[in-house]
Amino acid sequence: MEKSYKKEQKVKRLSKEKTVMLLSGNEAFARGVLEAGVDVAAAYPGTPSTEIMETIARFGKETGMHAEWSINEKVAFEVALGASWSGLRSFTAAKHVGLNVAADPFFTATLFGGMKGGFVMVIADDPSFHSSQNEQDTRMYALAAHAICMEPSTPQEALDMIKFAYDFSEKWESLVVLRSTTRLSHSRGPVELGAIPKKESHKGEFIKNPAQFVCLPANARRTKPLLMEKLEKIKEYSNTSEWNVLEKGDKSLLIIASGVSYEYVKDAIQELNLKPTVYKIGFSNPLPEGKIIELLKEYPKCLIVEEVEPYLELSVKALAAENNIQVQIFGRKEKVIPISNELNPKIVKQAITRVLNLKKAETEEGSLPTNAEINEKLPNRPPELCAGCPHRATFFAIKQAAKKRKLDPIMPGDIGCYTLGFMPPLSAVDTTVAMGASIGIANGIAQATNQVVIPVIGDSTFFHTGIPALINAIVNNAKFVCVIMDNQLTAMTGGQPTPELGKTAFGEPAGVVSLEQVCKGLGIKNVEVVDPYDLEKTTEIIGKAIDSGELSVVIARRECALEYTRQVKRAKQKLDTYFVDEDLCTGCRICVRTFACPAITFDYDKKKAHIDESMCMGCGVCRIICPYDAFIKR
Amino acid sequence: MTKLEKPYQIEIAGVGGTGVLTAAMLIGNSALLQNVHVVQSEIHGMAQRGGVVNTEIRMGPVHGPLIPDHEADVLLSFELGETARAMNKLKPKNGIVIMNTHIIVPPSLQIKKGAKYPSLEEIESIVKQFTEKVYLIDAFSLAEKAGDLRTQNVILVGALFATPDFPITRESFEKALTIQFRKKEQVIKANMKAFELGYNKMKELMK
Repeated sequence: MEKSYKKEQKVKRLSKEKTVMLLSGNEAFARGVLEAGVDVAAAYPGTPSTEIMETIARFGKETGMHAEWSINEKVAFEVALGASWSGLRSFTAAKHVGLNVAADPFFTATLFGGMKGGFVMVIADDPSFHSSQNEQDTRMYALAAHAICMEPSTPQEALDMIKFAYDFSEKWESLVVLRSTTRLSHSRGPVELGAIPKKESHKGEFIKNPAQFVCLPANARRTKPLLMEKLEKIKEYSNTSEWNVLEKGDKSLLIIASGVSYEYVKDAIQELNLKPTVYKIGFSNPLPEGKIIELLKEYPKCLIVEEVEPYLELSVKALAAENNIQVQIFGRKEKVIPISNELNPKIVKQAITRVLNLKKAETEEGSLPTNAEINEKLPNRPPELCAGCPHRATFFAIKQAAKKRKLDPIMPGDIGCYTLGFMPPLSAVDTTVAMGASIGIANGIAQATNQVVIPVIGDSTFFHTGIPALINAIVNNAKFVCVIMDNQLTAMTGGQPTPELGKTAFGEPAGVVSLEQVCKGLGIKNVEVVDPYDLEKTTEIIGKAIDSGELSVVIARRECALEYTRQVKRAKQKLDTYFVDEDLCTGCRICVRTFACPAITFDYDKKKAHIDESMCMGCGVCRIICPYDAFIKR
Repeated sequence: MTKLEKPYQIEIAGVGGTGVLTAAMLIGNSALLQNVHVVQSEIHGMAQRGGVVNTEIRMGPVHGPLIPDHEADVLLSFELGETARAMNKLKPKNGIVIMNTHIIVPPSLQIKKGAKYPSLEEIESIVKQFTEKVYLIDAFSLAEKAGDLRTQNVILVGALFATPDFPITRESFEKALTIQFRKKEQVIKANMKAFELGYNKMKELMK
């Protein structure tokens, strides 16, 4: 009998002598990392995964571990791999698209294995695109890379699974991937905490073994059959794993579910007052094939409930077909589960009702206004650039410089707060694809057209994957004006340090990398640094860069307004806010029509602009924009 | 140990920066201090960029973090217009709506000439199609009274605790507050006062 990693059921868990906290899934993952005694953790922030590393950075220092915000997900993965190969327990976390960046070393690491210290990676998928450009299913990656994959469904399981995963990773010398989703990472539940071990040393030793660590074709050829053999054995484990739980019910229906979808199934059957058999998959790759075949034979119908791709569905259907099992299987193909967006208890309830041909319960909901009808009467509330955000001023300056030259430049954008420059009235983002893609796409448009191209990228994103594309422009003679919006932080994910800050994840001093030195060092002659709050100068410098027709870089440097406000408030100082002199305001609405700072509103009764001083942080750019000097410093 | 026979569910609707997440933490921790099982969900990628922020709190015999449509016992709304947007979460007829009369105008509305924010009457008429139990609270003015405008969220939490059959006690809330803001005496004091003001206001409205 294997050691059990699972905590007891909820009620007992809340007894007095145990420490129970209301943790988010991400906090629980972090706690698991600390309780597993991890020595090295590395990540790049990305919603919905960011808080894992943030929590480790907050509490990890006293354990003596090394924690870092790496430059991108690929480097973070490699940091963890190097540490694992040196015999230390290592960890990385990323959002689903972050794994794309790390995919290259990921595929090779899973093939070669050799994890002397446990190596666990948490990837947070984002069904429903809450803060992402796509819905990707990390289980498909695990399948393609032959990686071990597990899916927790509650914060408690997030913690418990991490601890199991480290022992399992060391036992098989393999990477273990934990797949989370937004509704696990960003939901809270009671979590019983364990102890954080005291460690003597956090240093390992790299023992040379080129046959294992050098991925030459000859080594790879020899390794692949060994990996497949290992996975066969792990498949046997999966059939009896305590993470794959059978809850026996009646014979009407077998439901197979994983992750947070399993919780929705529990809610749905409770509400429908049904008792179907539920098979919860916590160990998703390799799947418990033997157990699934056994179960399929016993039920006339099977419903598969999972988020994003039909990962379980395809495998279960293949197993039924290969084994000639007469069972009706329902999932996405049958349109019982929707093809896109996250699930919820209502969707699962409808799916069960349909599969069992149950009569729909009578409800009075029909007569109520629908969401769509209500939304028509309400103003939209999209996320916006903050009051005083320097990005707004930079976008405004680019637009002004272009307008003076009667140009309509193409502005490939990137991933960060400044993607919100897409919103009117700025409407200043023409493409957004992937981290660093603004400069890459600018290369392509510059080669393909005679149009003026101005890629816009943030400082953190530039360091992440922007630099190679800029080098590419130099060596292939692509001409454009690259604007780096440097707010000295990774702002969108909550203000993690960038290389310019010279601070580690623990807040200790570290080496500094200067943006302008990097650009000049590459050999770019036109590199200028401007302050976007100095709107006139910024407009002039961007204009000159456009006129030069050369590859140029303009660094628009000004600290994130949110961070600045936070610091001023923390120091108990006052912000130099602005107000509107109503005698000077002519009601022309230029401020709200063209600039749209959230602190400025327009009063249609008085026909005057107004500043909400609780939002104003005193950037003063509105003063420059107003043709009548109506904005006055308090 | 308080055992709930059936689920008690609270939907909180608001806008980034209005203290939705802190309020949810306080309510969740209050439940936990009473050994009531609690799960809650929050979407906060855009929390500080003025976007919609909703939190769902589920107590008692529940599993997943999402409240099924038309199942919330209470809708606690931190911004007038957002009340209407979250109505489909509330139990029709019996559900309670506690709404802040304070409005936050989205900047995108300013761009369109003459575009106006819906009036209190317009929002109320939508809300009343779902339930009669609608309680308006001017949390902004009450927070001014409490001495800190940031306590609007706790004013509303106070009102929530005053609803009939609310399963969590004031004592648990006070304990949760002290844990959450430990060592920040001023913050605790202002929030205690805010809770009291919200609690009493709700009792008065329900008379």
